[in-house]
Amino acid sequence: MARRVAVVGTGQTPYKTRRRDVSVPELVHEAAGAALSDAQLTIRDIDAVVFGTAPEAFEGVNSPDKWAADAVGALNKPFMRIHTGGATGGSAAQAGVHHIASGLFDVVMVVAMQRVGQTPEAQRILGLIWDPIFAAGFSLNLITTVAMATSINMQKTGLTEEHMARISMKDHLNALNNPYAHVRKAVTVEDVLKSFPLVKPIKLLDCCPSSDGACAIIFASETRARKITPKPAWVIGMGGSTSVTTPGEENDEATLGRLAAKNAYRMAGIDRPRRQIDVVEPYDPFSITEIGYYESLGFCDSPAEALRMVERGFGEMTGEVPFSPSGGVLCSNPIGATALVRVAEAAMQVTGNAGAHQVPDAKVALAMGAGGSPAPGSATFMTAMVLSSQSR
Amino acid sequence: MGSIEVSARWEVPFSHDIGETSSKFLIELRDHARIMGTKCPECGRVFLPPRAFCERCFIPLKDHWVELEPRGTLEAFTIVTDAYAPAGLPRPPYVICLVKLGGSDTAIPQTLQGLDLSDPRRVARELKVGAPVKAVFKENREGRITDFHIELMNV
Amino acid sequence: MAQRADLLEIPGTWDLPWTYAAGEVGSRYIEELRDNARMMATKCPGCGRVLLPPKSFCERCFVSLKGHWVELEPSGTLEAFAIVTIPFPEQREPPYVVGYFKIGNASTNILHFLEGVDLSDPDKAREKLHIGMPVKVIFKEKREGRMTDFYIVPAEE
Repeated sequence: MARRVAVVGTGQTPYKTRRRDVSVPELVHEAAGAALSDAQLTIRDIDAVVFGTAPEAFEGVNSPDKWAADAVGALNKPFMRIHTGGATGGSAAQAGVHHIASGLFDVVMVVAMQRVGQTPEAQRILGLIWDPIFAAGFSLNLITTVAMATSINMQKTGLTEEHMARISMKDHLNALNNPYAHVRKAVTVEDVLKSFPLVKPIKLLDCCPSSDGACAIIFASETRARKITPKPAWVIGMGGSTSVTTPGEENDEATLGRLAAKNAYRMAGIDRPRRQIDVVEPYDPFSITEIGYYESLGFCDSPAEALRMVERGFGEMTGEVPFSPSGGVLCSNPIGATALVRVAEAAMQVTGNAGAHQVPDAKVALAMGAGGSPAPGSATFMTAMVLSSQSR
Repeated sequence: MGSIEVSARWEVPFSHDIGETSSKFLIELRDHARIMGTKCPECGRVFLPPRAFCERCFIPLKDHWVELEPRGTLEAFTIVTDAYAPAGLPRPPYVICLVKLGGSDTAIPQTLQGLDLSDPRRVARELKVGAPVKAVFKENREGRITDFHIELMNV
Repeated sequence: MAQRADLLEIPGTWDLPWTYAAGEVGSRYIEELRDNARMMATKCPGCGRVLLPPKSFCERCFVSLKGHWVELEPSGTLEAFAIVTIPFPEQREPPYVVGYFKIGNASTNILHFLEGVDLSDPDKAREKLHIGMPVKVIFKEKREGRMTDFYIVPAEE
């Protein structure tokens, strides 16, 4: 990287089905203000703004970035909007880092938001993202997409609904220690297995909620970061990759974050993730996703081994490498902001600021983002960022 | 060749949460026929419609409400004579304007009514930016920006 | 949770009509369905992949596939499926089976419904359907130039 970059402050809003007390600008302003407070900076210290939000059909306002711009400190400053579906927050974080690593800016505010609660049914909006010529009209939505993939997975690898339920139970338990989390309710494996079957084998408690929320992160150059805070969270690796696997074809190298993580690891000098990474905030809107990540992110060598790891509690708070200590995407999903929240949580972990869901002695954290979905005419965007308490 | 087109329609209902600040503005309008703004204690700007924060000073304005006189100046206007696509707009001709009220620093969009629009060109020549205007409230108000409209003060 | 009386909401609606151009390749595909009851795909001269739905370019070789057409046998296999029993807004009235199908020698699968399956007991149906089961493409009598000009049903094993 040309210049070292670090996170010097983060801010989040509590994730809820609907934040009735704020308009879009007020929601993002809350997150931006919280990040400035955290960094003990003022808006005058910010050189540029990167803003992330995914389909505005959720908000029902075209270009909500324009509405929100001055609420996030963009007055008289360069501003750009980033949109890569669910990976938006991760891509926005990377864009923020690029601004600084390039040498052109020193302190950048990155804010991401979504209001998934302004329309009665999120899947209706997501149903508008498919190829209008060949895919529209076939009732595809993210739940049926995941249901199809899960059925195949179960046939091929021996994955069971119990494995998925264990992940869901873990994430819900972790969310109890995160004051920002949307769903804060302990569930047992039994509760998950008995929860409403949406599209078998996917049940209600295997899925994320629809959330309103915003997150802000302030990034700074090395020189400035050291002046701003005694504990910067250093960005030591980044990677992004697009998967264009069409159903029916072999998964390409980018699927499930494999290539994005590989690129981030190379930059970070990580060749044994299981030893060198202390905590992971993955992008997992469904309970099955984390299981796939054990293998694709290099924590084990095979899908079969991944299942053994689930059975042993590998990703639990007391496990070898905690996954989603915040409760993860499964418990809070303000889509366009979600992947930025993963970066914020990773930064909080390596600076010892994660409060009740702190992983003891966490020094290196991995944050993932995923957007889009495999379908005819679609692509999946993956982002990976490694944060460390050491600048290397 | 290459001429097939596929049709679709997006019909999506929304329920926009307007937040505490905008809600208070509309509720004061509805219940008391009062126009409220917020004022930044640092730079002194008065916002109409009211804002929850000052974007320059970056401070919250939740505790800084001011009542605004329902009188002010015409800052800009246009006379719409052709109907166009969006549903729910008044039938032309009608006048859209920007007005400052009660000494606000920002202008609010509104409709300017009470004019004889049988000769729109004449009205366009005679209306002057800076003309004194007043807010006129509806009898039955609903908590919407249409609870009042603007009229010229000297008719 | 009781709604606060001091917080208002304003209804809005997006009621927007769209007209999507299918393009040269998409148009030919649809015309062949409508006029000739034929399933056509494009084949990449570089990597040899047969793409269904057809694309006008190969995203790996980055070459144009215009003019590189092949006809596919109207039969194939079920590659993935989900039995939907709950209603999703603006989507098909349940129950139905949505799935991915490999048709002819296509390298990619198309999205479609699987018709002709007894769904009176969806769990039983889930047992009976399996990845790799043979299917056939049936063209409708009256075709309109749409992806629904054909439907897919299980074929004899």
